[in-house]
Amino acid sequence: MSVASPTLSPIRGNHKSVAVLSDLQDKNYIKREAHLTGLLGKSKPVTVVRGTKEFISTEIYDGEGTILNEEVSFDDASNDEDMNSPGGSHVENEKAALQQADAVEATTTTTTTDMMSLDEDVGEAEDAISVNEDAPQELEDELECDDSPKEASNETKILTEEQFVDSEGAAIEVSASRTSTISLRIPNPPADLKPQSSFDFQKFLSEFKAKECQPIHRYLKSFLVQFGQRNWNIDEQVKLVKDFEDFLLKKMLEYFPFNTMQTEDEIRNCKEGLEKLIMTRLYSQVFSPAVPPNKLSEQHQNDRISDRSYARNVRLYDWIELRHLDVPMELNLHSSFIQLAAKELNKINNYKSPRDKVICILNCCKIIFGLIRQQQKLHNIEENADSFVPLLIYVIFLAKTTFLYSNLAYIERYRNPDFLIGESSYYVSTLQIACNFIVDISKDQLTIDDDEYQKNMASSKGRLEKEKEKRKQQHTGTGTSSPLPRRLTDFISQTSVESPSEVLTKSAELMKQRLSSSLNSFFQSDTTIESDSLTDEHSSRQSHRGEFGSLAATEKQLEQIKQLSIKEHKLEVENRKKHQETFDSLQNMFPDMDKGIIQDVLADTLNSDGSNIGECVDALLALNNE
Amino acid sequence: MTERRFAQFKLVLLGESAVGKSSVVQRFVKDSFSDFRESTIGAAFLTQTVDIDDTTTVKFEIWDTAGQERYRSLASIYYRNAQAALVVYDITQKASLDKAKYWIKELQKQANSDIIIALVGNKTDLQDQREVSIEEAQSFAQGMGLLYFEVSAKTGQGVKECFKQIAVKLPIEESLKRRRDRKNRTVDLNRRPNTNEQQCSC
Repeated sequence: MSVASPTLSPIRGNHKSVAVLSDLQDKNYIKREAHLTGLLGKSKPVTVVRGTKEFISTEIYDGEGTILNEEVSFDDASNDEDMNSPGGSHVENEKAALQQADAVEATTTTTTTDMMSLDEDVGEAEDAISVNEDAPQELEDELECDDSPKEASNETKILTEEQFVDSEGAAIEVSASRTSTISLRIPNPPADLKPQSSFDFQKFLSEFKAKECQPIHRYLKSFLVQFGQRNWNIDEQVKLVKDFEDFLLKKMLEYFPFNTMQTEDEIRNCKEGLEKLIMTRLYSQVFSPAVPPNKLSEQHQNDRISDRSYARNVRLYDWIELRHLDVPMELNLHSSFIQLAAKELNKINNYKSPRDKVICILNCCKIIFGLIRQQQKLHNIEENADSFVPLLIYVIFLAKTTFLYSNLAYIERYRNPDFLIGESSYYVSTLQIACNFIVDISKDQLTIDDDEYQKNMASSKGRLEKEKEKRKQQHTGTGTSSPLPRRLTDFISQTSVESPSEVLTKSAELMKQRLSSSLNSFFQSDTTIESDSLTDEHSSRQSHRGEFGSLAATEKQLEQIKQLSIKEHKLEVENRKKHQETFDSLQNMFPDMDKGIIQDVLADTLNSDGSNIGECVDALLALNNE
Repeated sequence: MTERRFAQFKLVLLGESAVGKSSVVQRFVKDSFSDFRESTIGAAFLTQTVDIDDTTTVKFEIWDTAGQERYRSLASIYYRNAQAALVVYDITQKASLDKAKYWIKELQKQANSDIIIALVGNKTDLQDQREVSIEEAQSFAQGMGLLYFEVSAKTGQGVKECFKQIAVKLPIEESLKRRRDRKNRTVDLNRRPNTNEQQCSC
C-alpha cells in the first residue's frame, strides 16, 4: 500500500532515463552558450553588462519597475526573480538553470540547492532553447530526446483518468473505482455522450515514429523550419498553425498506422498528440514571453504589456482579503486549500502544450471547489460562481503566477477549439475574467474605505521599494557574480546571436532555400518537397553535427554525467519530500481526520508525481462528510 | 426504437448575487427526470438535458456568472458563443430588476445577435413580499423581445417549464446539422482511401 501506483513506476523510470538523455544534450547546449558568454565576458566585460542591461530594460514584464517609473536596470531584473519566489516556480527554476549555466561558465560545480526539484522544469525550460535548434535536426532525434512532452504526458494521462470531458463538453466522472468519493454516476449515459478514453501521448509518439510516416515527418520538419524563418504576428501564427494542423492530420490519416484508425477516440488521440507535438516545438516562437526580441510583433508586445500590468498589480494589491471582494469568509493565505490551489496553478508554466496548461487550471479550480464545499456549512456560502470567482482571484494573489495573461491568451489561441469546450472552456474563461480583473484592478472595484486602502497601498509600495533596495544591496554585495538575465529564454535569445547552433540553423536554412519558400506551398501540393533536396539537407546537417560534436569537450560531458547522477539522487529525495509535504498539507486541511486514513488515501489515490491531488482532496472530503 | 437526437447549447446565467440564480439552475438540474450528472470540477458549470419531443433532447451547458458589479465589465468573456441567457431577478427586490435590465442591455450589445434571452423572476414563494408586479416585468420583456417567466427555486414551481420553453426556441435543426457535418468530416477523414500498402484488415 505504501508504494503509490506500481503500474506507473515503470513509466516513470523510463521517462527518467529519457530525461537524462535529453538533459545531457540540452545542457551541452547551455554550456556552450555559457562558455561563449564567458569568453565574451572576459574580453569585453563592459559590453556584456551593458548588453544585458539593455536587453532587460526592454524585457521586464513581470516586475514592479513600471510602478516606480524609473529606469529599469539589471537589479530590477534580479529582484523580479526573487519576488516571484513564493509562487513563480518557473522563474525560480529558470534562475537555477541560469545559475547552473553561470557555474559552468566559471567552471565550478553547481550545487544549487533546489536544482533537483526543477529537474523537469529546467528540462522544460531548456527545451525551449532546443526548439530553435531542433528544427533543422533529425525529427527522429527530436522525438527521442524530447523530454517535456513525455513528462507532461505522464501527468496528463493520469489526470484524465480522473476527469473526462466528453465530445460535447459534458463532464463525466469516471474514477469511481479509485476512491469512495464520487457521489453521482450517470445511470444510463446516452451512447452519444459516452466518455472519451484518455489522451496517451506515448502511444501517439510511437505511432508517429512509424517508418511509414516518414513523409509526415518531412512535412513537419519543413513547417517548423519555415515557421522560424520569418517574423509573423499572432494572427498569422495562429492561422499558420491551425492550417498546418488540419493539413497534417489529413495527411497522417493516409499513412500507417493512422490509416487504420476507426474510432473517434483514436482520432482524438491523434489530434491531441499532433497539437502537443507542434505546440511544444513552436512554443518559443508563439508564447509571447518566450518570443525572442527580434521576432516580437506588436501583438506579442501587447501580451507582454498585459503581463506586466498583471505582475505589478498582483504584488501591489496582494494585501487584498476576501472581505474586500464581499466573500463572507475568513481565510488567510496560509489556508492549505488556497496554498495547494496556488501551487497547482503555478504549474502552468511547467508545460508547453495548451492541453497540459488547461489541466493545471482545472486542478486549481477543483481544489477551490473543495474549499467551498468544506466551508459551505460554516459560512453561508453557496457553491457557485459568486463565491468561486473571488476565491480564484484570491488564489491568484497568492500564486502570483508568472505570465498568467500570456498563458491564457496562448491557450485561447492554440488549444484545439473542438476540445476547448464545456467545462474546460468555462474554467479557462473564468480564469481570464479573474486575470483581467487583476490587470485592471483599482480601488473602485473593491469593498474598502479610503483609509484602509491608502494605508495598504502605501505599505505595499513601501515594501516593494524596500525589497528592491535590499536586493540591490545584496547584488552589489556579491558583486563578483556575473549579471544574469532574468529568464532562461531571454538568456538564450540574448546569446543565440553568436551561438554555434544559430550558425548551424542558418546554414541549414540556406540549404532549405532550395525548398519552397512559402508555407502556402505545403497546403497546395505535396510534391513541392523534392526528395533529393531533403537528402542534401540531411547530409549537410549530418556534417554540421559532426563539427558540433567536436566542439563539446569530453571532460564537460563527464562532468555532466556526474551532475546527472547527483540530480537523479536528489530527485528521489525531492519526491519523498514532496510526498511528505502533500501529506502535511492534507493533514492541515483535515485536522480531525485519522492520519492513517490520509496515508491510505494518498497511497491509494495519489500518483507518483502528485499531479492528481484534487482527487485526494475529494476523497478526503467525502470521508470527512460521512 | 428511433434514435434520439441530441442538440447542445450554451446558456449563461446572469443576475445580481442575491437573486438566487444558482438555486434556480440547481433546482432545474436536480429535479429533472433525465440523467443528472455532477460536474467534474464544481457547481458553477452544470449540464442538464430536456426532452422536447419523443426524439429530440436538448442539452444545456449552463455557465454561472459572478453577479457582483465589480465583474460586470469583464462578463463579455462569458457571453462568447452563448446561444441562450437566463437573466434572473428577485420579485421581492425592485432594484434587482434594474440590474437585470442592465444585463439584458449588455447582452443585446455584446452577445450573439440571435441569442435567446429569458427574463426570470425568482422567489414566487414569497408573494407577500412582492415588489415587482407580473405586469411590469412582462411588459418590459415584451418590449425587448424576451421570454418571460416567474419561478420559485425553493418550491420548483415553473423552473422546468422555463428551461423547456427556452429549449423549444433554440435553433435545434441548425445545431444538429453542424454536429452532423463535424462528424461526417471525421468519418470522411477516417475512410480516406489508403495510399499505403499497409491496408488495414477491416
